[in-house]
Amino acid sequence: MMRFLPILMAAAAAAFAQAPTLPPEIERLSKDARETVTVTMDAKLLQFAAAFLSERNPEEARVKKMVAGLKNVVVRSFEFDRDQTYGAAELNALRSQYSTGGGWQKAVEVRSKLGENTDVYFRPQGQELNGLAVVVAEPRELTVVYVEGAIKPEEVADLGGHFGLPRFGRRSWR
Amino acid sequence: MRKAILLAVLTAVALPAADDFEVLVRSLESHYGKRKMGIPLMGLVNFAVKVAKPHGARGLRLAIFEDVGRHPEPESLAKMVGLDWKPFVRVDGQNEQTFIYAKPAGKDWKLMVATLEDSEAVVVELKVNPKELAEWMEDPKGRARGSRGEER
Repeated sequence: MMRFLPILMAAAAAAFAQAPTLPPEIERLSKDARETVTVTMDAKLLQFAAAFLSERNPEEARVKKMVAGLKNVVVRSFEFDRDQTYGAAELNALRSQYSTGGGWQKAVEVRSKLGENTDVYFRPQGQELNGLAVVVAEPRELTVVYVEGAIKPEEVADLGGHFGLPRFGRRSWR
Repeated sequence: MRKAILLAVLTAVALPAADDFEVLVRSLESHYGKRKMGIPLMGLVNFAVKVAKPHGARGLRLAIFEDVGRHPEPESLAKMVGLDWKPFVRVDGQNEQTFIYAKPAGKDWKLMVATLEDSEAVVVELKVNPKELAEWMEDPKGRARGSRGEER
């Protein structure tokens, strides 16, 4: 039994590290997508990588400090060959996941004439956040980022551009 | 009887840990019902990788399956790779899928990359140094594309 304990523990950890499932309307988009990418990074992987961020570079130092509190980062990205493969119904199903309970609050909403729209949701816990979700909807690409762990609101912008996350508009976050 | 049990337990403990790459290859051979392709000069490739260490990669191992039928389902593949490997990147294209699993290996990490396309399957195991893994994590999508020979 003891020989299997590490495997059982790893399996249990993997099971708990799962991001919230996406609504069926979004999962169905995989069939029409040219490419669907899923990136999963748990605390061990994140902290290992963060060890190589430089303390001398102010931005990297901030990311390194923040990553210490993260438990899980999952990025799901759908790329399409043509515009309008997904519509308002799919987007609403996705957005409603973060607006109907679960302690999520919409923090940022960016709407662009070019059809590049971003929604950011926080899950507050005391003075910090314990979750962050980003939905980036573009005409040919839909990306959902889920971050679990202790995050300070003022540190959120620093996470953009790292670990496969989209770079956030820094000015709009401060 | 007690001796037999003791012997069985000792044998199980004394046996070296299963080689994940070989286990995966054997599982795929069983699934596809055919052997992996023989790759001439693979030893030379490994030697070149060992000397040159492209992108910090070492211990490259490669298995190719050609003219295969139905690929394993993702859940089955994960079991074949081993539950102690962490799913890291998954790319679902229209005609191919790439699965990348990661596992710590001392001071390094091992990556197991399985690419399943049409009638071909390619499995690569490589050891990357921490810096290289950090680079993978900075651009996992691009690296996954790169591992399939696509432009990043």
